[in-house]
Amino acid sequence: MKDYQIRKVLVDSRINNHSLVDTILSRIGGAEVKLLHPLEDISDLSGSSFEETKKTLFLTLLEGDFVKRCPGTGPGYLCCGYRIINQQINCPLDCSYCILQDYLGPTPLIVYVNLDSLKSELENYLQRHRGRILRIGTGELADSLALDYLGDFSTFFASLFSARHRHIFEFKTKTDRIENLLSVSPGNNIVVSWSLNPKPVIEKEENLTSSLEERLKAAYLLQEKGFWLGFHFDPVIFYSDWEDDYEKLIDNLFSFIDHSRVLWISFGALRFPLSLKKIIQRRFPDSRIVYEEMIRGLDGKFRYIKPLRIRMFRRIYKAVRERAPQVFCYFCMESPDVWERIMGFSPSSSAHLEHMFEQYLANKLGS
Amino acid sequence: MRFPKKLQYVPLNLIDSEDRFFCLFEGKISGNNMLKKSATKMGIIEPLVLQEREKKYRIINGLERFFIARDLKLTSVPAYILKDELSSQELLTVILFAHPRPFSLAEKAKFLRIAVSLGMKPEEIIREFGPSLGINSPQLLEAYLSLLEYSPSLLSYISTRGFSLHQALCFQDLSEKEQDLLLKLTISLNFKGYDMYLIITNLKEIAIREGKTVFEEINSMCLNDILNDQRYTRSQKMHKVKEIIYRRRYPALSRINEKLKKLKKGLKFSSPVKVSWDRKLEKAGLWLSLQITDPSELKQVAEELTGAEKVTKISKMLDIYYEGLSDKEGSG
Repeated sequence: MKDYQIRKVLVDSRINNHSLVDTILSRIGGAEVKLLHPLEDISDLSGSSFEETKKTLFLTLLEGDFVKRCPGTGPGYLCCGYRIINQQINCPLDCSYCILQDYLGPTPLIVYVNLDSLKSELENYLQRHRGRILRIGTGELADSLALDYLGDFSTFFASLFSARHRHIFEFKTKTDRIENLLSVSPGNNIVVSWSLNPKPVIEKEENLTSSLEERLKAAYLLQEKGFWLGFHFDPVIFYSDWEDDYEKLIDNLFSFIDHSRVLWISFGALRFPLSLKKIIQRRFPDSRIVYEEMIRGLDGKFRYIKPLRIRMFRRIYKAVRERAPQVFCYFCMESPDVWERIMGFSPSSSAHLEHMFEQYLANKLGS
Repeated sequence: MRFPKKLQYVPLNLIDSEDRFFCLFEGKISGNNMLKKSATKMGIIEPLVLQEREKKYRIINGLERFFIARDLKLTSVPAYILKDELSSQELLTVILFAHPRPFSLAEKAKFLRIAVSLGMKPEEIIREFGPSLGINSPQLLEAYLSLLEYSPSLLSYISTRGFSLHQALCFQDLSEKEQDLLLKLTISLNFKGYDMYLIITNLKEIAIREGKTVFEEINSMCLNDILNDQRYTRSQKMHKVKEIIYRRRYPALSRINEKLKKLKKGLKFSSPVKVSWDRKLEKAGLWLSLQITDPSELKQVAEELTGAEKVTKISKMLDIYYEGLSDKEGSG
């Protein structure tokens, strides 16, 4: 991950003496620290730029629910029933296509420090779903590891899930911040996954993230340590050399990684709402990704036309399958007929996809 | 108006038409035939708004009426006279409320420019005039001001043809040459704001994708040839221009739809079966719908649909629907 500096820390005055706050502040050098009182809010930052808010950290308490279902997308596309833990909100990385720009707007990086509440809520939640194999992760509204150095959150989650064999926890990242994970005992239900794209895409669109080599090296180290791995080819991006570059990427991946240690691989093509398109055009004027031939999909988001998605997925899926024949592959927010064309079958519904996933994991992990 | 004023007839020679700081009117002088006709018949009815200044009067509102009166050789005009001591901000309020109709885009932009040049800060302008002008953020204020960078003819056109601000802003980032070319296209084909917005947005996106300028794209599409082609009516020309731009913006989508249309033509049914599909190619597969009035027709339709020839043709259509990219299109 590229150098990155937090410039300002806002601390909710209710947690001024919280030990985790002390830890976090001691690990941030040179940032301005400001106490915020409960009735004050962070709306004075609403006029700020993304560049400013991405360097501002807000430490506070979450008084609502931490655990939620992944919102997925509109009807017409299949979703996998993933669960998310929102312990952190927003991401210091700066990918041009990131949906959080639109979903959250220019918001500071928020870290909720009431991990005790999270723990008890999560225990209740998992207890209620004890018969199920759930996949749950922190990488939906944040990068799971980008801010790990501040509070050792990965250690917290790994230990929380260590006794929960039927519930699979996923750290999803574009960084190589694995120092904490390397010192954790890898449970059979902990997956560390990386979002992957060819080098030119990473260099042009995924600002501040770790390079492909760094990500693959980190994955290799954790594989050696005994962790399960996951990979997300999402968003797949169309550009002139995509075919060769994705092929090379997959070759590269499996030259580092033992496919038998990969628990899942997902595919999803670039998609974004109109509001995000405008943000990308304004914030990343050199990016060309929004100018390809795209239509408004059934969920209102811009997507590549289906024949192009089919062509891209087929090529990438084939390359993956040749090297990892047993890995569970799935599409994120894709339509049943695309599944059918690529994989030769389609789940009949999102619930069916979730069930297929559970069955696969039960067999694979022997739960 | 809430400021003290008096109505009186003011001799034209006492009006200083050179001081136009507060005038929003910048159009063609005496180009307003309706107003001229009316003034010829009945004189100037709507009083001007003037401010006393060193024994003369400067125009706050009514520059066009002043020029028409002068052309018609009138000796005096009715006018409300404002006191000399009114502040600039008060004068702006007078302009806002004395205006005989809602501000056009250009008038709003000019009004804001006057406020800015008087040293008012954006927040101040928004606080004082925002509610009346519908401007609630500095960004919106900036957007209006940016319209003043357009060529006068373009600004005048979008102001008088009902363009919304959002539509008008699509001309941003275009060179003067491109603006003129697109204005010519708009005027010749009488495009409305929405059409023009789509056309320009698509042209810009094509240009960015292909690494060219909008000017080069317009020329490469030979849009001028269509404008000058006498064989087509105006509505045919409009349709053609839109179609050419759409095809360039969505080449694969257009080509696949054309192929499907061609195949559909060759798919004849004796019974009323209709084949259709989502033109964006996003909904799953093809739709075959039929209309029957008698159960016996079902058998005939079933036989026809399952015949080898129809199955082959429909399969081919499905294949094109999902896999119809050319090698070049899929390779970037």
